[in-house]
Amino acid sequence: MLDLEVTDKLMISGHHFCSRLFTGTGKFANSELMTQSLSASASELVTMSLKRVDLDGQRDDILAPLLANNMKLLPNTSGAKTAQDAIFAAHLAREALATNWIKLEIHPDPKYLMPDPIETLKAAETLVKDGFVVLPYMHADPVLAKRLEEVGCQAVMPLGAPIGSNKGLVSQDFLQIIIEQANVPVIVDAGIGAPSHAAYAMELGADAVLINTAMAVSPDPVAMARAFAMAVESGRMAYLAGLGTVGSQAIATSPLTAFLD
Amino acid sequence: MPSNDQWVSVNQHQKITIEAGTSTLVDVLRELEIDSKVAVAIDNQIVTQSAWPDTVLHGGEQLSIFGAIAGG
Repeated sequence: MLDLEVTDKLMISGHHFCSRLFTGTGKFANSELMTQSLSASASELVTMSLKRVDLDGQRDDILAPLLANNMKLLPNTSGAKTAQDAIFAAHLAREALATNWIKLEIHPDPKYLMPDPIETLKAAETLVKDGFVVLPYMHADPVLAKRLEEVGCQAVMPLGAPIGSNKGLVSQDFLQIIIEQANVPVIVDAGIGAPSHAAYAMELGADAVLINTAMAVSPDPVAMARAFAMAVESGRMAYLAGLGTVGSQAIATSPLTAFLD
Repeated sequence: MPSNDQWVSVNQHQKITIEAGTSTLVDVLRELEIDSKVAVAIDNQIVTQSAWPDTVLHGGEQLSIFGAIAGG
């Protein structure tokens, strides 16, 4: 029997996570809804971006409620178009948020936000040498996943589908190869639009999922956050329990004795 | 007597008056009412927080101040 509470913790760079649901802070209608939703998700790792401070406008402090809830911060390098941009952004994030964890994302194309594999690998190599815990957002490319692992990334974050598309695990076959080959945690990031997608990712053996849009834009983000938490837990439990094999023929569940004989 | 007043630019559009050779980065941040959860770069070189009090401004510098915003 599985003792999930005790043994099944995710570890990244020496840090334990009880929840395998990571969350983003974008697109929530307001910071109160964000806080309530993240709380309902039971997530322990949250992403955020960095931007020049608006000196004239109102400054919404998103950090205070996150830190009050003991959440680990994962700043991203969103907006970076090159390795050089991303490295600069990572160093800024480390200064501003006092963490050496960084979600490395470099997507120069604004339409599909596809991550640039070459720039990402270059930046990852430098950032690891600079002492960062690097979690790169990447296409579901098994070769790239191994290369990122080899340069010292502490996890990989392949996409399920384009960011914010809610399409689910379009990249499923390649995610499975990445999961099979990885020696670091695999966090499925981007494109997950429904709790069932998240559960499926976990059933495939993903170590965690990162959800933002699907939660934030729901008419009831707090309930949706809870739904995702349950789905992730359910999917993980099913993976650990072991799923049955898929076959094309029926195999009877009940004895096939003809009871009228 | 020539004035020691000079200015630095902040985030590309705002100008802050400083006393050249005396004002530090901490003085400017205080004037802007900015807390410590930011990163500051002067002329695209990041200045670590521990160095803020000793970073004297001379005028003409371009300050970039970054903070956290919501994002995925």
